[in-house]
Amino acid sequence: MSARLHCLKTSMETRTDIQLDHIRFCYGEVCAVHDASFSLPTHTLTVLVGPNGGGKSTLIKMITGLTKPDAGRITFRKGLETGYIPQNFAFDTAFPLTVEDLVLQGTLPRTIRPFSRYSASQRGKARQAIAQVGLKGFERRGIGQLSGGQLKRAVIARVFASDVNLIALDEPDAGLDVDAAKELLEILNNMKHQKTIVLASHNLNHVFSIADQALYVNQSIQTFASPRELQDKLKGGISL
Amino acid sequence: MIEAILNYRFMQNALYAALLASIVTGIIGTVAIEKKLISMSGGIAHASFGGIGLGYLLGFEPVWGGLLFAVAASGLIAKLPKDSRLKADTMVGILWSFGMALGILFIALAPGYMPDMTSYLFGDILSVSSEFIVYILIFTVIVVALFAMLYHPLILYLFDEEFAKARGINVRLMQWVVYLMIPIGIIVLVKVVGIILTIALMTIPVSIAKLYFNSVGKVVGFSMLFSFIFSVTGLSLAYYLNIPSGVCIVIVSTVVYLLLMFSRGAIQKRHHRQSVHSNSAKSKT
Repeated sequence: MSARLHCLKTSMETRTDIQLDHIRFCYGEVCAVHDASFSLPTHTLTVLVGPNGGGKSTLIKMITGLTKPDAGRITFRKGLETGYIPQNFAFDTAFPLTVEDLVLQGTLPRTIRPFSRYSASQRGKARQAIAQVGLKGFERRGIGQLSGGQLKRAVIARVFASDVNLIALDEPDAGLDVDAAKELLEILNNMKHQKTIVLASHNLNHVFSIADQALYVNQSIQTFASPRELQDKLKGGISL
Repeated sequence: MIEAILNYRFMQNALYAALLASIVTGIIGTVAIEKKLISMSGGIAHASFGGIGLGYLLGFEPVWGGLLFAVAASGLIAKLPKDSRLKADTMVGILWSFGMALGILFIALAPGYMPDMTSYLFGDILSVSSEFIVYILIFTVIVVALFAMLYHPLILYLFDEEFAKARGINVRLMQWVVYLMIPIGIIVLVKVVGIILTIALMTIPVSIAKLYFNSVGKVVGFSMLFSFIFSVTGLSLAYYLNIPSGVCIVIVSTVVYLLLMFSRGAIQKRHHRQSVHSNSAKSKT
């Protein structure tokens, strides 16, 4: 079956941002995702857990439209805008940029307006996003002077300041100490009231407490009635 | 020196050239450093020598030939696929030497005595004509206009191309703007510091500004200022000591950069030692 991407009607009864049906994605002979089906309800937080190479990152990229499936269907809600936060940043932290400059980038319009400057409303949006991730007071600080956790929060604020409805994060807690990871997940938990959040994570103990939906990804998807159920199964050492 | 500036046209032209070159330096130096295009800029500067030689051979203003070759070299590098980094590096190396070879060939083929090419290779700000000032003024206006017109999307493109793409910014347009600004800016610098020393003026003032400032606007502004100070200091040394101006400018800026970098490093070390000392004293109490 060829991959088809089209939009969900907004009049649907259950508001779902993205619906994935029987998705398959292969890197040559090796299939990272096979027959995966699930949906992301609006304003919920979904966590994807599973072993390395199980296909979590591939799914995250497909949700944001960066990668297209080889087979199956991904249905996006009409008007849905997605933001992606990768595990490792492609930018150089020695770049002369303050936290405020970084977050303001999220408010840039798609169409280039010559000689445009940031408006008061764009600055307001950026300040709000900075406060939301707990970086108030860091606006003028250079990004090179931030800790790993603070930088991740600043990048989340940049996506938050943009007009996306769904934020997909690949291992947002990777490389962070326990406290910084906890803090970051708490921020994401608060954000889900305004945006749909989906994240791939290894930090099982913390993510289960904030997730509305938890999926076990190991090439295919296993869904559970509640995140707690998946957590208990994993704790019990039950093979999934 | 001030008397010379007031009385001699060549000194006034040298000062204008230094000012315009400093404005260009702040912009294209920052762009090239942040987009990691310094090596490419070196290739473009050397490739421009082919065009300068062509100008001598065919009897037109060498700066136009230099500009043509620089833009063509930049376009060639920009057209290479992004995923083949080795090819881009190789192409820079080829254009670097091929441009120089063509320049020497064209000059050798030109009728009459072989002209003195030292001013193009090592720069001679004291020999800048009024006509040349008009040319570099036009080039400077183009670079400044492009930078000011596209400031925010351009900064995003330089910083995080992936996010710019995801935001729907036209990164292809940004790439072409960068690959157009750099060769135009390089041609301005060639007469001031010369082909061989262009990279020094593109990198040193920006690197100094980056030691102290964490916003692009300030880095650009202060690197313009530092570049102007270095150019005027180098110009004065060249005037009094009768040595090539480009060499003086580069030596002065390099010495200042090294002094600032080491003194800053020493200050940071001292602060670090003091904070460690005070922390250990606190923990004892």
